[in-house]
Amino acid sequence: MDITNLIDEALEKISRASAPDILESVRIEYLGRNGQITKLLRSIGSLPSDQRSEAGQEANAAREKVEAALTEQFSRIAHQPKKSKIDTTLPGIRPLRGAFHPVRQVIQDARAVFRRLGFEFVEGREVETEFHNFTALNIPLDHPSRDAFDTFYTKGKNLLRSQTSTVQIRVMETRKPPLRIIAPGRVYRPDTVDASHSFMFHQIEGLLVDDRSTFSDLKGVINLFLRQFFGKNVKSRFRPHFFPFTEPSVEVDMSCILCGGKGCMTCKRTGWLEIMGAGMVDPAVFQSVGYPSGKYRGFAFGMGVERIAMLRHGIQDIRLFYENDLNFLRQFS
Amino acid sequence: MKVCLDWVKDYVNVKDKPPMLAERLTMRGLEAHISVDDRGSGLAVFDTEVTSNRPDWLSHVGVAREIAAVSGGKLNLPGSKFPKGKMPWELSGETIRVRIEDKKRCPYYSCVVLEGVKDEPSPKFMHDRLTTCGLRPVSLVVDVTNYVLLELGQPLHAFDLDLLTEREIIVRTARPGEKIRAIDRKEYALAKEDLVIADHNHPVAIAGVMGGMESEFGHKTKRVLLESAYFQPRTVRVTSKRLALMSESSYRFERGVDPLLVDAARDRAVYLIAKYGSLEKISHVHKAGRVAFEKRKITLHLPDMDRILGLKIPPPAVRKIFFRLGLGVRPKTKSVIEVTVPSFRPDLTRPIDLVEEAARIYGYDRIPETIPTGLLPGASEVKILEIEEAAAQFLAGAGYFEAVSFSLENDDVLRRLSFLAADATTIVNPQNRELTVMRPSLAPGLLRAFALNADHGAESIRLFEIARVFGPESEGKLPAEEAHAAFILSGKKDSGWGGSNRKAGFFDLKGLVESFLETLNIQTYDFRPYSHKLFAEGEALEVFVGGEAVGYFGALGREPQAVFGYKEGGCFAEINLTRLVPHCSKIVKYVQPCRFPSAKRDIALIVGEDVSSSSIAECIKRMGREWVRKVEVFDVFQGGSIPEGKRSLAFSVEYGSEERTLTSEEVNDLHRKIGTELTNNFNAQIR
Repeated sequence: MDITNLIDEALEKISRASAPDILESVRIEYLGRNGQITKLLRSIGSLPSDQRSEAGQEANAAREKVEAALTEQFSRIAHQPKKSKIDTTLPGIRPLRGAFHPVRQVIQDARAVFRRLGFEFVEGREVETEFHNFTALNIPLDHPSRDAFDTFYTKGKNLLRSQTSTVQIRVMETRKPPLRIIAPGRVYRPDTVDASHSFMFHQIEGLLVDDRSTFSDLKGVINLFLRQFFGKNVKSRFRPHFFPFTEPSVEVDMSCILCGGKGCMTCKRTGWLEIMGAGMVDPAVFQSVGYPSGKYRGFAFGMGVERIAMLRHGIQDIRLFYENDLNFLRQFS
Repeated sequence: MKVCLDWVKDYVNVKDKPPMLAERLTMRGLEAHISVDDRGSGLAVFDTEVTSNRPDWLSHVGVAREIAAVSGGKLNLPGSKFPKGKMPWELSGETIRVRIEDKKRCPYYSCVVLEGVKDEPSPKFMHDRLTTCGLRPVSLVVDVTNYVLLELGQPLHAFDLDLLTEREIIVRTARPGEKIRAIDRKEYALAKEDLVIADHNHPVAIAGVMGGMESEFGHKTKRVLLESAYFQPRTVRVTSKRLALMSESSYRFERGVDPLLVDAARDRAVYLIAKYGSLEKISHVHKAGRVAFEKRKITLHLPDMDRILGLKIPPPAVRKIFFRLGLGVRPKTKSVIEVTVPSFRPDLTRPIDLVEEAARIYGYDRIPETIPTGLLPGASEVKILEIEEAAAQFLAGAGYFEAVSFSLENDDVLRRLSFLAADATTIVNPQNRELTVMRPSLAPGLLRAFALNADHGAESIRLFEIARVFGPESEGKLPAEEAHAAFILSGKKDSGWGGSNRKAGFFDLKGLVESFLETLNIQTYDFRPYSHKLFAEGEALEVFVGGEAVGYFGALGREPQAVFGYKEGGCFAEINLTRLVPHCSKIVKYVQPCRFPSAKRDIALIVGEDVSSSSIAECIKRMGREWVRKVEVFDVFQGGSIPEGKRSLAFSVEYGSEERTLTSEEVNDLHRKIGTELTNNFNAQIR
């Protein structure tokens, strides 16, 4: 083919190329390993020597011209606003993601706070002996204080623990102070099930025992927890109460996190929410685990996990925690 | 208990307005709320929640005493004496023989005969106060017994003397077969541990719990036997619990009534009846036993108290608090005091009880906040909890949602899924009759959740639970408790619109189980065929770690579908985490990656469908010895051009040496040899 026609043809194709891949195929057609211009250049060597120089210049000029056109066209189409090939409005394809149950989330967050204070996580049993659930915790047989811890009994004359305080006994039976433990777990009470009661729920138990802890330490630790867990503006009040296994005993209220203490339905217009029970470990408990009298002091506290999760997430019905409806569980991912 | 403020004011000067007073009492341990007085009597009323250690708060005088202690008012106890010589009655000659057979259960019993009483209404104030406190006024005599109960806390009972046989009162335990119809009109069968008040013939009252209907005060009653006694708290509680019969009386006796009240309350009742009604004659007091009370003295070292509280309460303040609470205080040294406990405070027995009293009245709000300064414990956390945590992290990360289901399970469901052991840990007093067995597996709970979500139309269901399961129980021994992780899977493999639309199945679960174990740093495990009601036959495997069975997984079979009624099945796995504990090593050992490159060759074989892929892979590894680094299945195909009864398995084999780079001839040579071996061993045809 005549070299001029070849150039014209190439330039024509280049100018019509509307996309980089088309342009690339044009380049290969002329300048590729077997491209027409490449072949032309290669054939020069076989020409008689007198024609070589001229033909060579011509062919090189052709190549430069085509290359320049290619470059120019490339930059033109590359900078053109091109029409997208994908519908970017389609939803993203997400990796699968599950979630922890809100109960576990509360336990983990509480754990994180107490860990900073040197508390370690321990576990106890769920089927327990009368000794660990009652006697060792200074709850005598046939005493009205047992009513608060109504209990499921098993055929084998054991029981389902009605509070995580049993873990205090389990730990103290096997270890010597200093102790700083947090024990989360399931507890069971034969309550009639309704929006705020379940026969199974979770508690977090805490225990610190050493030779010098004080009631003021108990206040310090609990307030630190409340502020770190619920926010720095949370206020608390310590109300005297009665638990057989602590003395002095206290019930801790925190300012209502929903109304900020102004009074609402959740806090029954009092501005306060009952959040945990606590107290200094009763000497009778130390005695029951065989600690020498007067040597150790400590404090314990316990709180309901579902109650905290309900307050946190605005859940009105405790039964939702055990239905395992994905429409519920998915909301906590 | 309902507390009538107007009534309390009879005994103490109340300075605070009701809301302030309620707050003060609440912050001192007597939780009080203002209740709406819906009976229109216009009196302020508190609802109090009385803890079981404070029986003294179950009376208006007790509350008045607390108010006096909290706000410093003077306490005026109610009187029961007419001015000298102005007794409005004559002496009755009636005598009652009182005999106590069980002095332990009833240390002291007293009664008095009142003649010439009438069925007449109570004065308005008494009527109103009883109504406000939730008791129904009946007739003066009965109302006075209730009034004194609410005023002082001592339960009393009025019998119609003429309905008792003989002039005899016997306090004894019930005899075999004895029954009593109580004033609630119900009949109660008595047991030998029940204490009763009997006349000559039979029980006329369940001691401390409720009187009998037969001898009840009525409109014909002319002569009354008024009982005032002390009953052992435990006996009243046992009987009241066993008969499921609670009364204002049993509620107080089981918590412990002030033993010194017996005489005082009886006198007070007589006084009120005489003052507000007709009373002609009164007998001497007939009694048996004696008041069981010894004064208790407790020595309190004030520095000990300060150390426990983390706050120094000035000694004069401590003494003042105790004095106002009605305790006797005697300073022994500058820092030691001796406290005498009055009869109405059975809860105060040890120095620590006094520490609480001092702190309570002084105010918990005045105790500072400090951070513990003691030594930190040295032990590390429990490993199983770390494993549970890691398992939960892995499963949530893999797209599974955590479920929490009840630890108590339906025995029929367990039986049908062949999980029910004969000696399974079983509840004798279940709250829900459907749920009685402590579950030995997490399967029923997750299957129930699965069925619920399938029923709600969920397309892809991924759930997991990590919880305890329970072994069988024998008497006096605790059942084994082990932590399990279980997960269930069904629906599409991928999320969103870009995936393969393939249904997740057995191999997705198998892969998950493998990753799960590896996440817990368990590198060696093996699977063996498993058969269980849960799973479709031949589509389940048991997991072994260190030779021990630690779980199972597979495609769910027909039985669970029949039990839970879902339409389309899925896959389920359950792993015993407790048994994994000794096998989970936390620290990973680094292995130097091979320095010499590897070469990949593929081989596709047509084999009989009963030839397992693992046997071929093992053969390849065996043949290749140290030159085969990895064997992977990359395609499985059946049907189409593959003859009936056969399938095509394609393997990718990675060759390499630890010592040098293999030449392609060496690799090809070995690859060819392996091919020949497979052809011979498995009757395979190379594609």
